[in-house]
Order: sequence, then structure tokens, then C-alpha cells
Amino acid sequence: MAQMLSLSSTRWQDTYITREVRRRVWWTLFMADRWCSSGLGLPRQLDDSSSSPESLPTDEHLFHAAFDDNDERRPSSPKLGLWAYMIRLVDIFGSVLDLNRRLIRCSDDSVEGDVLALSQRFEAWEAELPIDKQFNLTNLIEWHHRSHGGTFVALHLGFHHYQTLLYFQYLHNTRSTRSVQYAASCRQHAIEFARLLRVSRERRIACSYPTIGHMALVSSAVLIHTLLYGDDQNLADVRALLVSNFEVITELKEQWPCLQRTVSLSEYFLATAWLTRG
Amino acid sequence: MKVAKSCLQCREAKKRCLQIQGEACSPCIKRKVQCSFEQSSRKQSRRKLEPAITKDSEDSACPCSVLSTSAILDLVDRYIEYVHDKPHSLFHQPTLRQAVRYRTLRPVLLCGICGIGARFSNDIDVKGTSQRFADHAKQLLQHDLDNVCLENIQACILVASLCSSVSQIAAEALYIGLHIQKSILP
Repeated sequence: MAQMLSLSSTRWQDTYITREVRRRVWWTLFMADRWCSSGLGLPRQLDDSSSSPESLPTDEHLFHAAFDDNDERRPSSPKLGLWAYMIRLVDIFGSVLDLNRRLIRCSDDSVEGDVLALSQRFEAWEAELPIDKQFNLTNLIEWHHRSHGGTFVALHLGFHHYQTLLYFQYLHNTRSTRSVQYAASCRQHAIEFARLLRVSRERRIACSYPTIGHMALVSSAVLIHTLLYGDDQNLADVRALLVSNFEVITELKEQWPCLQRTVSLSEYFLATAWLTRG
Repeated sequence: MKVAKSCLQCREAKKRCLQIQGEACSPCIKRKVQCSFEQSSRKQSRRKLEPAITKDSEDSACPCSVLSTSAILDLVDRYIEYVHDKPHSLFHQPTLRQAVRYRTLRPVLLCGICGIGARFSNDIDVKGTSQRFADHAKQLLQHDLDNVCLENIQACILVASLCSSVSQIAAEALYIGLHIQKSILP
């Protein structure tokens, strides 16, 4: 239906608001296509996009502040919004999914080149991020003040989650120097994910949808692996982050019953963490 | 049911509405504002007003019919605060709130949004209406699936979210996939 309506194209009669809404709906389907494909193992239906800047969503704060097309606050060349960078990130996520599916179908020792290429794509994405969208406490507070803190958190949670998935295979594969580095990256991104989730919860930044619970479970799986097999010194911090992930998942289950099984798994991880206290 | 001959913007501005079927009306195009009559080419130019809340609504099964406007707006605000612009981005928020206040938002969208917003209500009774909103939104959508329009795509995404929230994962994929995989028209 989206393709029939040519949602990804602009029409001469569209107002600024209509154009932006159509654009965002299109990209929502693009994101959902990748996430559904991930969750169900279905082939994707929308091709990878070159995502030219003209087609990407504009700044959320300006878009939701402008009431109509004549609003003087709307700049003639609006900058890219948080969602634009979310879309570029999920584009890379699609390739991570393809790689992991290939690994499941046949153990492939030649993937290091692909992992390196994806790793560089994530680095390039982070390097291109404008100053106001980079993660730090000042930006978090500022976006929260503008009522878009949840979107800012979602962006950076995705950044850490996708890379946790990329390097996950190396947790038990440390044959080369590079694979040791990748294993460390996996653990680090899982930790950063959990830290971000904890700080957003402490600051009451609303970001509550089921996928957060699923991502938190992946983070917890890596954290428990770190407790059991890692040689990190700061195991008390890792244990505290496991507790924090569990608390978030439990709270999310109150709104989203589909997370019941996720809660059970998270409880299991927590119980295991207690056993490792020694 | 009233039959609206003019779009909301022309009515407010007391202008003559000259609608091009299936598109924005010419005064709105000239003034460069969003036209509330913009819709798919399958719809007729005369469109029924569908109030969000009315006690004598034909759609008495709609959970919205028992909630006040302020209660509805609260659910919409909760949806915007907790969910909108995170896993999906579907609406221009000021336009959405205005459509709820003026009762011009299509019931399928209102039910989908309220179904999600209700999950975050502190009132247990309101929270319990979430599944009723979801079921009603699904029903309305299923009866109108052959209508190719932006609002139905937005509704599909909302209904998909509601399906996934109760682990109806296959249904979620169906509603998302349904509106992506179609034949392409110029």
C-alpha cells in the first residue's frame, strides 16, 4: 500500500507538514521491515536505501513545533533529525542481520572481512553524528528538555545494541587478536547499553516500547557471559547493570505483556549473577 | 451524519472550498496549509464527519464513546510521550492533537492511539480498555482494507504495535507486510 501511494516520493501539492508525515510513515515501514525480518526470520520487503538527505526526516523539534506551512519558525533548509540518523543506523543493522543469518546457516570462518567493513560503517556513522546528537549528559538533558529525550535515547540504544549483535559471535571465538578485540567490543557495547538505559530511567525519560525489553535481554546475556568468563575487573558494576536491566524489563512488562518470557529469562540471568558473587 | 462539503481549514477561514477529488483543495494549496480533505482517489469528494466521541454515535461499540474529550486527550498525550517518535513516527503532533479536539480524527486512528496510550494510564480501569481499543481498531481497519490511503497505513502500524504487545507476532508481521508488498502504480 505504501508503494502504491508512492510515499517515498514528494508531490508538488504537498505542504511541508504533509511531506514530512508521508516521509516519516515511509521510513517507519522501512524500520519495521527490518525489525520484523529480524524477529521472524522473514525476508525483507523493502530494498536497502541510499537514503539521500532530501528523503530523510527533518529535525523533530522544529517539525513538531511548526503548526502549519506558513510558520515563520520553520527554516527553509531544515537539518536532519534524530530519526534520520536512526534510519542510517538501521540500514547498517540490516547488513548485521544478513551476516548473522549466514553464520547460523553455515559456520563461516571468512566473515572477518565483513565484520571489519560493518565495524567501519558504525565508526563512520558515529563520526558523522552532529555535535548536538552525540551522546553525553548535556545533550541528553537538552533533548529531554525539548520533549524528545526518548527519541535521543532510542537512537543511542540502537547504536549499542546493533554492535552487540555484530560482535556477539566472538564471545567464544578468540582465536586471533582481532577476535579478542571484537569480544571486548561486544562486552563494552552491552555495558554502555545498560548504562544508558539506567540513566534514562533515573532521569524519567520516557522510552517504553517492547523492543527495549528484547534489546535489554541481549545486553543481559552478554553481561552474564562477562561475569562468568570475562576478566574485567569491575564485576560489581556489571552485576549492578544486570539488576538495572532486570528492573527495566519488569517495568516494561506492566505495559507490554509480550515481555513475560523476557522477564523470566532475565530472572534466570539475575539468579546466575548472584551465584557468581563468590 | 453530517456531510462535510468543505475542509476544516476553509471552514475556519470562511473560504469557499474548491476540492480536487482525492487531493488537497485549491485554497489550501494556494495558502500552503495541510488540507484535511486530502485523501485517496478511491474516496468520494463528499466525506462523512466521524466524531471521535459522541453519545449518539452509530459506533456505540467504540470504547471512545464512554470517555470524555479530556480523557481521550490524556491517552493521546501518553502515546506521544512514551511511544511516538521512538519505534515509529507517524504524526505531526500539533495536527494530531487538534484533530482529536475538533473530532476530525478517523476512529481507526483514534482507537489505535488510545489503545497504546491506555497501557500507560495510572487508572486501572482505563488501562483495562487497551485491548478493547485494539480490537475495535482492528475491526475498523479490516472493514476498510481495500481503501488505499495514508491513514490506513498509519492505522496498520498502530494495530501491528498492539498485536506485538500481546505476542501476536505473526499478526504484527502481516499488518506491516500487507502495506509494503503491493503492486506499484505510477
